[in-house]
Amino acid sequence: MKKLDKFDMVICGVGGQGVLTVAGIVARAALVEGYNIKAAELHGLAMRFGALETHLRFGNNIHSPLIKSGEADLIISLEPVEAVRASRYSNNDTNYVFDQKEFIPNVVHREKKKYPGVKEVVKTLKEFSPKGKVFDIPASDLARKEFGNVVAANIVLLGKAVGEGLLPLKKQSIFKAMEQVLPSKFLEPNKKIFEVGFKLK
Amino acid sequence: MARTHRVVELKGKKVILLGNEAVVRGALEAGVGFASAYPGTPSSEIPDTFHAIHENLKQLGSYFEYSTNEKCAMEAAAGAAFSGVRSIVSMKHFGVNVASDSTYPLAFYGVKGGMVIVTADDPGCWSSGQSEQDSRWFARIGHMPMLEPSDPQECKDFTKLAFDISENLGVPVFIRLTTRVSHVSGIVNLDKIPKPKAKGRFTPDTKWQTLPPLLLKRHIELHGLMKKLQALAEKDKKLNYVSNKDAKSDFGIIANGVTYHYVMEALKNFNLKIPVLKLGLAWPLPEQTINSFIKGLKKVFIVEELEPILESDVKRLAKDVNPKLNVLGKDLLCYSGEYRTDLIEKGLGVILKKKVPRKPSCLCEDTLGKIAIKRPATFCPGCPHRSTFYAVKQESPKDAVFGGDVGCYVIGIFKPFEMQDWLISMGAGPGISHGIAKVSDQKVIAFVGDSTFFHGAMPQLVNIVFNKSNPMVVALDNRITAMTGHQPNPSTGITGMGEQVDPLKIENIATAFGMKDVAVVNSFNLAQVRTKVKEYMVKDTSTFIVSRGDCRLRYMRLMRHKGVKVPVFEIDKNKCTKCGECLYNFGCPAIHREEPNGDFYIDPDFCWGCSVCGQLCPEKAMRVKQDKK
Repeated sequence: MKKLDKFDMVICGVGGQGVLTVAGIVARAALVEGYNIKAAELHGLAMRFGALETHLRFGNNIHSPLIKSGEADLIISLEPVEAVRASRYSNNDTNYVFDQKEFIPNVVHREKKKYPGVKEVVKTLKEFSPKGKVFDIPASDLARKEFGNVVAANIVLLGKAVGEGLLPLKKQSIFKAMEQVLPSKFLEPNKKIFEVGFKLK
Repeated sequence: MARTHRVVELKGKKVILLGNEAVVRGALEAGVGFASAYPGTPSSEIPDTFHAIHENLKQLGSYFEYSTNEKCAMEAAAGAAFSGVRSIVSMKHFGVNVASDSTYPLAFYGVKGGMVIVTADDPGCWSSGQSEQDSRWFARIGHMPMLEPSDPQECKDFTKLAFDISENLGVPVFIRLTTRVSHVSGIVNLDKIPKPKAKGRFTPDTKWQTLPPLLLKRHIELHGLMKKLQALAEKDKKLNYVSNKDAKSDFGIIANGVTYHYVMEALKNFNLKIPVLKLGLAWPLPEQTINSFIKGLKKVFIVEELEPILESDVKRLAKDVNPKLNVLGKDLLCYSGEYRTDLIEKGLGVILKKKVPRKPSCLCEDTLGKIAIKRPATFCPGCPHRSTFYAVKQESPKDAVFGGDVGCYVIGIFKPFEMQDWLISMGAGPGISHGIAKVSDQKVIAFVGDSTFFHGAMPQLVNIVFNKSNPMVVALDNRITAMTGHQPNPSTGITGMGEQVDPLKIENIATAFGMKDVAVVNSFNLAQVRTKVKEYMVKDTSTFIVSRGDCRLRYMRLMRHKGVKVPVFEIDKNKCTKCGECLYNFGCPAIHREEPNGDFYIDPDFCWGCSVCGQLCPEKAMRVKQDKK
């Protein structure tokens, strides 16, 4: 077993995008590799298209289920602006993988505000985390193309994070975990869509 | 073949469970025969898990139900326990308020089978909008023990233990959870699930002890029972224990529930070894254990979320055993909101005069605030509530009063609707509306959901009829308890054990109550809703409209599983005048304005095909989008 003190990861997005599914997969993959895990999920009102944040910690020395600000090793976001919201957990080395697909809240239109574009988000994250890597990928577009639906964008992002070595877990462990949590009829398509993210350049 | 649910995996396995799921496993391992609940976040996955494993429950011979409200759930579980069957009942903290009338006498009456009452608090109000309540008081008022697990493994272990304590003392036992216990996943070691004793027999041998004079004698007895448990608990090393016991320090920390893990994380980050007393028994307090912990200390730091209950108890105990002890707590932490490692570190930094350890960060709070635009919860695309609120608003006078209640429709409190003038409790929409209608000439319109109607609004409706007031009550019937995660209720047609049952029709009940004007409309038919609202708006008696439309989120999930594609809409740019009715006054999250040209468009990924935007568009600019292929 690898000696890993702790790995702290935030998975965030908009309620309903499949944030909890990714957290469930990563947690079980970490168990497959023999780590202790703690994951804090948020349910309830936050599900109705509000901002949603899940904390996932694994390693051999973890206590709190919530990540301390400035401690996140990796932030996976299903929406650009949500990646910035989660950056309060970032430090100079935090890595990011996020979906380029924007989900503009109605309040932006009603109050005639400007919604930050992907470019501005990337610039901001690079400022916040000068030594980290920032990947913005068209996860929703790829999911729609391969899966016929944007709901699988979360798995594309996960594939990218593992493919880039930003998440210290093996692909085989992720697949084992998928077998435990996904409905059997969605298993193979999800493995396929994971590979799309994994191999994405 | 269906996969085995992780909660019923075999003995000896290590599985990842949510705190709430672990409570269910604990109950199963304790041989629970009867489970009841009314869903309420953060407790909702307890009933949902029982529901998900209803086939296993059938095999075991045990039973689960979604009760009509928490009081019904409490009474049902009490009935099972009175008959000698182990029972568990779960709810969120507000639920115990509803059930309290039947809860507080339970210890006086006593139980034969072990009875466990689970209450889930929500520090920080992540999913609660009425008050920020601390459930620990319930145990003290009701003379019932209360255990506080801190993680999923303890959720399982403490639930099991609670059944034993309950049977040993003959009173129900509380399990108190908080959001970060209920909704935290962790590794749980599984033990055996025995065949439960699911059949009991009620024998009327109780001694009239809820009537005086026996009631008064029983009151004294209950204090004795708590003393008995106190004595037992002093010896239990799993329930209450000291970490870093051997550390030489005249400073100590006392923590309960999840805060213990924040404390341990903070100490790790400071690289400090300080003794920490973790209390798993919230009531009765293990006073000897606390006394021997604080005896030799100069300072003690109490880390508890919400009310300073432990803090005042420790101050009281210190008067006898260590009068000079400096008891620190809330002044360095916070009375409101949930705790985090950061907050504990700040407090410890002040006490120990140490710099809080932090990784180097270039984070700029100002930039973060500017870019991370607020994203309030909103009705889903295609939500029947949005359509109903829109229609009612169109037909309402400017000074109309909108009675708010508890359900997904609280989101109607936000723009563009602003049609939930209060949020007090389940049933208080119609209930408070009645009082306003009695003293004001304004038109009062009260909203109530289907589950809320059955839960707590029926006596209110009778009161409106009996005492002759004139609110318009709009029942938002999406035929499911949506907000807490789609639990069936009496209007759904399915029970907790997965059996078919005739759905109760809200309109029939309103009619039976003596309401004269009762109508049913289709939430997705704007003209129909508006016409009926307009007709009833001018009546000077009470009226009742059931706006019926299936929860769209549930409908979309069903369609996806069936592989059915729901048609999506698009906006014909040649017809659209950019008037903004759909975007600003209807506020569907799938509709957007494109920059910089200002064209309106519908995001096909998020249009759930309800068609209501097309009905309200003055230019009829929406049309079904044709697949390009």
